[in-house]
Amino acid sequence: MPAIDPIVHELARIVGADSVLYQREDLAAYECDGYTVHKHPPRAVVFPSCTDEVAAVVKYLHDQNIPFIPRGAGTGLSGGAVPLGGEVIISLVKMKRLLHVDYENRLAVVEPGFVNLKLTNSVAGKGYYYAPDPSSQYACTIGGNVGENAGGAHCLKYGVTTNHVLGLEVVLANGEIAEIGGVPDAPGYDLMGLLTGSEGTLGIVTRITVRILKNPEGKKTVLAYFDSVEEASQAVSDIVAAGIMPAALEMMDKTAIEGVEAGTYPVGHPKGVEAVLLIEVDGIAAGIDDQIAKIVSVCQGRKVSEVKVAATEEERARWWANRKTAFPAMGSISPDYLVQDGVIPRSRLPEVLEKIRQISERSGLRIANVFHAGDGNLHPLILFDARIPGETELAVRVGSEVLKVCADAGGSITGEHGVGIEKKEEMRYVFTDDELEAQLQIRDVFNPRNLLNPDKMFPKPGRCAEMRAAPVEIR
Amino acid sequence: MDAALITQVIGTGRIRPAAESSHVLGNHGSHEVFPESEEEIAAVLRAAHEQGWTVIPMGGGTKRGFGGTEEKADILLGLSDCRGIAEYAPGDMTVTVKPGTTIQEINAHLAAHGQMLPLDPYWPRQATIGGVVAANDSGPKRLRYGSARDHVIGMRVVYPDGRLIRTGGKVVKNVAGYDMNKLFIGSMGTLGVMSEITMKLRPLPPFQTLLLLAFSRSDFTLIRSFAVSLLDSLLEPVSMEFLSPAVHRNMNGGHGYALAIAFEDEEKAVRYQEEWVKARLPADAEIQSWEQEEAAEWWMRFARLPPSGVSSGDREETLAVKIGSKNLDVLEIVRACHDLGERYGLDAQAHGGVGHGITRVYVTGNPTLFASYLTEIRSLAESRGGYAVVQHASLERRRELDVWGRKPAAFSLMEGIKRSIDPRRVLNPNRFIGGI
Amino acid sequence: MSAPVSHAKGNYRWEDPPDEEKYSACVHCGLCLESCPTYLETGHEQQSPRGRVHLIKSVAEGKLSISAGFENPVFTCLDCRACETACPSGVQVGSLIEAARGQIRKAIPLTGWKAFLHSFFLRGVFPHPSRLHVLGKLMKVYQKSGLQSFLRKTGLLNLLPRHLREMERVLPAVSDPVMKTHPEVIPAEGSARGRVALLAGCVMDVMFGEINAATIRVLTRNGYDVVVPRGQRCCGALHIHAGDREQGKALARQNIDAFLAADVESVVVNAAGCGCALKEYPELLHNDPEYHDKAVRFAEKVEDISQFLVARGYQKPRGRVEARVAYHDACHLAHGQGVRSEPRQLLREIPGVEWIEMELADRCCGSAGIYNLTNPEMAGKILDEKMKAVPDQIDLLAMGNPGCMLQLMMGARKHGRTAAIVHTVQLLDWSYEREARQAAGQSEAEKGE
Repeated sequence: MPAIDPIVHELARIVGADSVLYQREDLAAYECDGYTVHKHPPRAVVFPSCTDEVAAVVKYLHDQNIPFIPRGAGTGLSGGAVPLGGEVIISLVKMKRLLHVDYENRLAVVEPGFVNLKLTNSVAGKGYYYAPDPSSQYACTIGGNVGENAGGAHCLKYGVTTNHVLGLEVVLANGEIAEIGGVPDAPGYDLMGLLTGSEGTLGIVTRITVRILKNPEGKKTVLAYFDSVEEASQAVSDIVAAGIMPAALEMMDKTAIEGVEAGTYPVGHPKGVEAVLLIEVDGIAAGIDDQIAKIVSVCQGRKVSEVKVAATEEERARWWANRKTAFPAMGSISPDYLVQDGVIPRSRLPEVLEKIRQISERSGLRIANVFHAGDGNLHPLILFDARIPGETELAVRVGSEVLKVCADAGGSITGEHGVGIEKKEEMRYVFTDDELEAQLQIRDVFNPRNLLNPDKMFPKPGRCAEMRAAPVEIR
Repeated sequence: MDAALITQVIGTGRIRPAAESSHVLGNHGSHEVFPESEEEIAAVLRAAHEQGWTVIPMGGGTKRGFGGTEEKADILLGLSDCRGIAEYAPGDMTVTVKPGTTIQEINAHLAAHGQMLPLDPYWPRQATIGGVVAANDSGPKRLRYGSARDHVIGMRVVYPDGRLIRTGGKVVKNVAGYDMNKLFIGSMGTLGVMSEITMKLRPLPPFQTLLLLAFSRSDFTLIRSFAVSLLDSLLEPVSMEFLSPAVHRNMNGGHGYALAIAFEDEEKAVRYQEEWVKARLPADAEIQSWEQEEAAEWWMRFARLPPSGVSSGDREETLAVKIGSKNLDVLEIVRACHDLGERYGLDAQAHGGVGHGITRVYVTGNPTLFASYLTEIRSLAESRGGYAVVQHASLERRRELDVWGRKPAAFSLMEGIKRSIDPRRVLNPNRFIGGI
Repeated sequence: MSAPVSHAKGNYRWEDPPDEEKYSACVHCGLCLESCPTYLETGHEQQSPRGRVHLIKSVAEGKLSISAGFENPVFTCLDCRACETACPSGVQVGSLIEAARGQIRKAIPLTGWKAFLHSFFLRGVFPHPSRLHVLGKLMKVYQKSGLQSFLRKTGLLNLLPRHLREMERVLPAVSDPVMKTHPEVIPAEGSARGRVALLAGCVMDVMFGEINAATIRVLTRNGYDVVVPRGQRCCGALHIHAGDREQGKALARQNIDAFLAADVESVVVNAAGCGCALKEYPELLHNDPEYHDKAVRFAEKVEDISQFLVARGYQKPRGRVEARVAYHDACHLAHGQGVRSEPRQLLREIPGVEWIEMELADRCCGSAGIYNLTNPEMAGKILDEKMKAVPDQIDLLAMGNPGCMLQLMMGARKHGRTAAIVHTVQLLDWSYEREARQAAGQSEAEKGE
């Protein structure tokens, strides 16, 4: 039996022996998150149960110059919680309480390990909900959502996590605890805005105040099938041009439809359609029928082959379950998949999809497209088989090519999954060296020793770029 | 500073000798420079960085009385000639504008395509988007639509050393790298000069109304329970602005406190919501309503309530304070602003968004009492976890008042950011919190 | 421990290694996490479905060996299959776990008292109906002779480990097994509309013979001839869960023979765990050339009693059962067999029943076969969580699995609840019985007039 890493005893002294994992097999379960291309076990996993324990763990690691990674449910899709070698994982899953709900002021206070969907479930009884609804909301934590600035299907109208965070308690790189925000427009620089989406490189959030919203009075959902992706895309633009702000506007292409129909929640999409649109409108009930009528007529103007409105809440829920499990459902038609997260101006969709089709043809890998059409967030799912030598690398290359297409169309390389490990180099598609440097300057202010989630988010320094402080030596 | 040096970096046509040697609001400049392009902004800043000049950026000048204890900087960087729509894609519901474009200009342009900038800051005819974003200004409709941090998706920013940095992008959803947009929103021009701003838009609502509920008896228990029931209902008001008696009088000649409730939606939906409110009117409330252009006109007048840096010369000396609190604390804070005014013999016009937590008060009268007034309001706000910031006061007053209040937690990080981006303190020195 | 080398896969060196197709289907998305009772309890990934699948895959890839560190998470799994309901990619976690356990038991054989208990009960008693019946008799003697109350009074029972003590306290009054009390074929009431077989089960028949009797009454009442094949054995689920695949397979073959010979249209099961195991015989025997096809034919006939009644139509009961009733989804019914609505329908249609839908009804109770014996501490915590969801104001808590019944009897006692723990079919039986009594009473009354 190998000798136990001495830091284990120190960490156990802070959090208790039950709350530190160090055995080889246990660590193996932490070698990746929802992004499985890179795997590396952490040095240890520690489970603090309160802010003070987080602070004490961070202070110890900081003093010892040991890098560390905050982790929630590990559902991230860009490898943000994957160790690259020698980091200690600070798992926040034991801090999973809903601390406080203030309905009058429409806010809830949660610990970072609290699961996204549980918040909505907890306030649903009084007619409230928490708006950001990433597809992983059954499992992902709100702390992780803050780290990744998670989006979801409904962010066209309601925004992403950053639009719903009102305050944070955060443990900084040196173990100090700071309260940020709490009331709107708190004086000073918007550190809360910076921390949200910083992928665990600027601090560890230990308490989060979020906005809760009142459920819309009415909600209607439409499914529309099209024989061509172009017509479906045009319908999307027409809906927006008609002055409608849908709560969600989702598209899946033929391969994606094949996947969801083979998955756990098939809804019986007709065979052979090229694209399906899932459109949801919500708001004051009295105004919704008019909007639905407009949407139906817009779709008819675009040669829709079938358009139907969900008759019951159950049907609506089934359509959403089908859509929300689209990524993992690809597991039913392919042993592995790599999901990309490009963003494009939605008007450029047809040309971007055509380019993706060409990439797919050239590479021989099938690509399914799931698209938050309303906000231009495109999720090409690159299907591959990791057991075939070279295919993983090919899939990664194809993913990068797809992102280049998105960036060249005036878009971005990630809309909601984050950069993580996966898209570090692709950051160069959208940012110049100066711009990357400007971001690193910010990181240096928060995280001067680069101990917090090192080597994520940013590409290796370019030749011209000034060499930055090298990450701490890892044993 | 050596004035001749400026002419080497920017054409003489862009330089104007300061019209007056000083300004009652301060935040002036020895030289007024009006660049017309990003390159010219960069050239001025690069020179400033090298020469150690100080620079105060300014758009329409409406916020000249906001922050700062300096009489003047070396350069007043006027951005009003950097104006216009740079890019507009109605199908993508995004617009990119230059910083000196006024809010009104932007909205006029968008309205032609049935869209709008969902931001209702004060003085929209004069205020420029650059200034609004830098000062993070917002109006009553943020209840429904949010504030600048919810709409800005990308920027081009000239750093104090002349480097050009793009933040965010031109797509509505983007998490590539840090959300650097947030850094500049509300930073009071202390970190960079925005040369382009890209924003998300919304469709123009098909119909709008404004209901003004006047509470002649000022029964706060009743007002509160009505506000709570409305907030807890399924209605979707775009504003629920609580008006102190002075604002109510000023706007409509009314008496007592009032609540301005706006709805914007399909006409049927608006009517339904109006009926809901009318059916549940509290006992002592009287209701007045306006719709469409009339409602818009009311809000335009409302947007001219606060003191503006442009017209301040014509006005009595005014103190404007912005108070941030939890949503419902607004009721108490508006009341305190009013009561305190009466106690001090000051005219205090206060209003605040019951659903969004921002209160503003405009105080006129004996300026020597402003400091005590501010201290009391601030301690009330702070006792409830909020803050109070002076948004407008004369330079003289700002020097004796504590404009920003106490340093926030993690202030050292803010200092660190400033030091890292603007080590020579070129931009807006001492304009921001804690002497940043 | 020699096995054909062709089965070898990484560090799995024995027959039936975990199926590569099955673990490859896992994309590590994590949507299973919140469904897993042991993950919710520990917060540890290796105690989660995707963590376990990841470890199982790592052993196959040769990155990990079969060690105690691997054994622990694989055996801490309740095999409740809740993750399979949650999994969007359709990963069959239960089957992977069972296969991995088979490998672990080969690589790390049990030793000491665990090995003794294992071979005594799983190999020595459960496969042999006669020995089971002896055990049942002993228990009956224990309860009736006064020994039970004597031991309880003297405190001698306190010498037992706590979880066994708790279990002892709730042991139901043992009735006679139907394998003994009933003939092999029980004719339908009136003319027969079909012929079905009943899996009597091992624990069910010994501990809850009364439920088997009720099942037979309900079936005959609905017009079925019921066969209780004498050649049937324990279903083998416990063995497979414990990693003893050989014994599991042997039992499977015996059952297939016994039930196919009975020539019935359906094999009706009233124990969720057994039903699930029977339905999975084809997979268990996938590489048995002689039995695989038979297993498929057999498995097609297996139906849970609730599924069977609802699918074929049944006589709506008319006797009132005035009670507030909640239902607990046995994992191997809800997650294992997808049977959720049928038992609820049976219960809700009983006149007088006030239905209370329980939150987290399909969350495991911690019984999980003999999990509460092998992992008492975890089982206890999971039971406590379950009891939080059990409403206070109910009279009856119904379910379709004997293991769950024992566990929840323990839970009810521990948490001071008064609700009685019953099998779904018992309620139906009571209602029929009351209906019959009322009818008899009425006809008596009519006669009297």
